[in-house]
Amino acid sequence: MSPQFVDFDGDGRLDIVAGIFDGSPHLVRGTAEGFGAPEQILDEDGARIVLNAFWNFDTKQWDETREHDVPGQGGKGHMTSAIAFDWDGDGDLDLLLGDHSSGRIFRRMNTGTPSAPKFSTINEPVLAAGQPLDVPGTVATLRAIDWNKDGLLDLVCSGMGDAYGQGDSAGVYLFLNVGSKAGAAFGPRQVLLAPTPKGGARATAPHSGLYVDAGDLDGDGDLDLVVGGYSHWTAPGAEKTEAKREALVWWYENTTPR
Amino acid sequence: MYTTLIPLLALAAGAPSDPPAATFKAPVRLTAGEADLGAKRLYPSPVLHDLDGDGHLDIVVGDLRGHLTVAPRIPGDGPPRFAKEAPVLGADGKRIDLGNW
Repeated sequence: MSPQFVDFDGDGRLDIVAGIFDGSPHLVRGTAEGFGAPEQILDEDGARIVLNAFWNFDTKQWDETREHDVPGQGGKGHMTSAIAFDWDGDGDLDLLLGDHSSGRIFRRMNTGTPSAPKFSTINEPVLAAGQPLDVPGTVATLRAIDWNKDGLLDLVCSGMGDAYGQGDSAGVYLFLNVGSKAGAAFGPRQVLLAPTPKGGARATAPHSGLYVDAGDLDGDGDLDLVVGGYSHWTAPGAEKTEAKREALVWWYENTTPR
Repeated sequence: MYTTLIPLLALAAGAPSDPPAATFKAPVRLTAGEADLGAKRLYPSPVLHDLDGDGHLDIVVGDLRGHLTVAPRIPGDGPPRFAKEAPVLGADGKRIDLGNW
């Protein structure tokens, strides 16, 4: 679950949007009294928003659907991250859904209004440089951030990698918005943080389950990264089978020349 | 059908041709009060947000269980410092719980 603080319903108060492991996006409304009870964000038919895999609360087991695929472009998607994002500049917020089972991102367009959203029932693949956007190591989270300060929100995405074994680490990637305020379009994948090899005698970096956000933490005018995730390391003298997995949050100070 | 919590195997680690978009110093682990931020959480997910409205970015941390905590920023120069974490509460005074499944 990765929270996004955003005025989802256009009432002037910040709400919380989050995808969770059940496979659907949720909303915590900000009210005059504080945050309300979490609720599911539903589509225009009043149905749950899912990719393919989801926890079925009626049968109490994992379930799958192909009902919301663009024909020929679906998969076995399992949404665990979501952000509100005004894709088409019409003043209401659409949804971008991150797939924990692949590196892809899908969108649900809002044809309603901020206070009365009508989310489409089809998961439209988000493209990058004309191809389905792909986050290596599958999508852990996605963030809408104006990285290059051109007035358009870009996508910063971090990967899951192998969070349990000695498999590949994950990285953090940037997809610049090369479209316009009337229509987002994303350029090719760029690297913000390359995957760091696992190992070492102590936790020195996050390797898997990367959850990223960006902000100017040191007041120098550029965007630093904060990354939550697991460090995989092995104590001196221990066998690799005794490798440690330690959850931490890290700060990456931006040193890009300006 | 999903029968395990995280049924993942890592995929490709990124194409070698992907260009770098920025450079960063080596990572520094963040603390909140005396504790490591994110420690003992399942998939800690930080988001920078000025939750207390003091003009400084706090860190809100979500996790797999659907819980949210906030570590308020301690103003000052140098590496960012944060005060002890506390649960993010709802209007009912209870911890916000987005659940899981």
